[in-house]
Amino acid sequence: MPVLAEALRHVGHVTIRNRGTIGGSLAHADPAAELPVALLALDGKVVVQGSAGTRAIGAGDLFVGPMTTALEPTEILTSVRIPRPDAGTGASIVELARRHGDFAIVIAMALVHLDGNGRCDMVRIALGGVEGAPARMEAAESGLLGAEPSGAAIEAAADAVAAGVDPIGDIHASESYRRDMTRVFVKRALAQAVERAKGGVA
Amino acid sequence: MDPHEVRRKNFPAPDEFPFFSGVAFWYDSGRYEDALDSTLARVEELGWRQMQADARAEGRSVGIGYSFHVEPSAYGPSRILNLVGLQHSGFDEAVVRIDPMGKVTVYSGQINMGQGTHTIYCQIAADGLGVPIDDVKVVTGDTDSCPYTGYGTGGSRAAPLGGGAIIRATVRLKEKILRIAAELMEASPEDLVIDSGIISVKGSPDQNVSMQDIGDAAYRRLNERLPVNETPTLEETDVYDPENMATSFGCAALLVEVDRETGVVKLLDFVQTDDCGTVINPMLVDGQLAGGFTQAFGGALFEELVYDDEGQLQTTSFMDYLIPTAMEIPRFEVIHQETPSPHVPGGIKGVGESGTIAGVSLVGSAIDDALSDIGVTVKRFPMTPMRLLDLIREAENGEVSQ
Repeated sequence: MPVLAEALRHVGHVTIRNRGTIGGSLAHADPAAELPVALLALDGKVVVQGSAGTRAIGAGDLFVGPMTTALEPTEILTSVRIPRPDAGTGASIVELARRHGDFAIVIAMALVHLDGNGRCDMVRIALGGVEGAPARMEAAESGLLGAEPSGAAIEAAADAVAAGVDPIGDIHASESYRRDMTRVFVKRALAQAVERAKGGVA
Repeated sequence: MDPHEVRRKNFPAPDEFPFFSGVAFWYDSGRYEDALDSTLARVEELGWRQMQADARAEGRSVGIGYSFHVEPSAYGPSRILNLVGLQHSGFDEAVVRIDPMGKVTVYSGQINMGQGTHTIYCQIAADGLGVPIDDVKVVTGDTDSCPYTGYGTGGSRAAPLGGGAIIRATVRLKEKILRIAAELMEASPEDLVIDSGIISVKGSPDQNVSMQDIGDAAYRRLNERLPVNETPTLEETDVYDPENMATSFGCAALLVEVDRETGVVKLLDFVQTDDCGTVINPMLVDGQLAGGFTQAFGGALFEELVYDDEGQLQTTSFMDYLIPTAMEIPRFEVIHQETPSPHVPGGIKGVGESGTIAGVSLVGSAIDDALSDIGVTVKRFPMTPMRLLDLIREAENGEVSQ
């Protein structure tokens, strides 16, 4: 999964990456962090352990708000499980930040698999930095499913994601700029993922 | 008309210097057109125009910006500082002392804040006296032991004025060394040379005395060794108040790429021909310039105090106030051109602000060039991605920018 390495390049700086951990970043659940977006797009899960025992939490149920996860106060995250994508899956993660290593204004990650006719038989889009928690963009995913991922289809999916988000605004990116950049970066992630799916490069 | 033609028409020619500024000071010396030609030639060599053409063919917006700067430095003649209403003067004072062992100490009112002042003062004193640089130390930072300065460290004066005072003191001190050496060797001072702390008769290097011998003759065993009428000790004080400012200058060029969908500006490459008169230490000049370039790019693209409608400051930490890091700046290339100041000892001019002056308009000029096909004119800084995207959309929709 080379896309994981691509995701990690956007995380802070070398010293931060040396010190930080994958599980720690997921449990921290910063809405502008890369790893939660990657866990969502890769459809992974985490295993947590507490006084009541061990349980698994799927990525979609893990991130409930800014810096907030579904972990109970008595639980700790003990492992991360990421299923290997099917052969031929194309993946991409792209990010906009003011400076390299700053928290993201937008992180968009896409996974695409094409069937024998060049139509999408698997699409996953995950978004971070835009709302209070990272999330899968399921409506836009189902719009592409079964379709040929043409430029127009990708644009339509990106428009759908941008129209559906409720962006936060700050001094680096207003709500409307974040919405605009959501469209641009979802489009770029999808285009690159499709390109890689066609070339057989994950 | 080509913007460079406008510049050429307005440059004073080298023989027009000193060129009166119209108020109080003269541009002391300059080869402005040479600086422009040097930068243009390097841009050509680096192939920026081809890179720009290739990028445009791929639908990317790459631009080349130019900016020319003049930095009045060596602040300044006390006459001018008082004239403009400042209640302090512009002299600088240095004491150069050689101890009985022949080692040199420079005392200065200047303060080093990382510019490398101590290093260049060692270089200047070692060069002026003819002693090894390791035999020189510099003391600053305490008015109990060091001279007063008329102004302090600022206005790019540590090298020309602090250094100028050291040069003038070493000239007199060297003359005294040679007079004492002449007495010791029964020679004429005009026939002596100092090299690496050894004073010898020209053409007969075996006939020599050391700086330690001179120290001994000036401080300890004076009889029949220190010339008659010569004052004991080896110390010179110099107070230097310049007659004019010293004007450094240069021409910078910047290659940028603008992402039209996001408004993000990426700095790709940078060249500046810089002329700060005599370059004492190229590495330290490059270092000062690099810091200045980075600060200017911060002002052009990142650094801003943002207030909300209620007047509440929204920029509350260095997560909000963005200082460029090594990831945001391009490669810096400096081409040194040296046009000495005609009136400062050693021909030295200052370089403290030469990195920052051109940088902001340089970024604006490069962005304008990258977006020349739609006619964007950048007038506000920092040019954040949000602001630039607005300008791009206005231009694409045929609206007049800002």
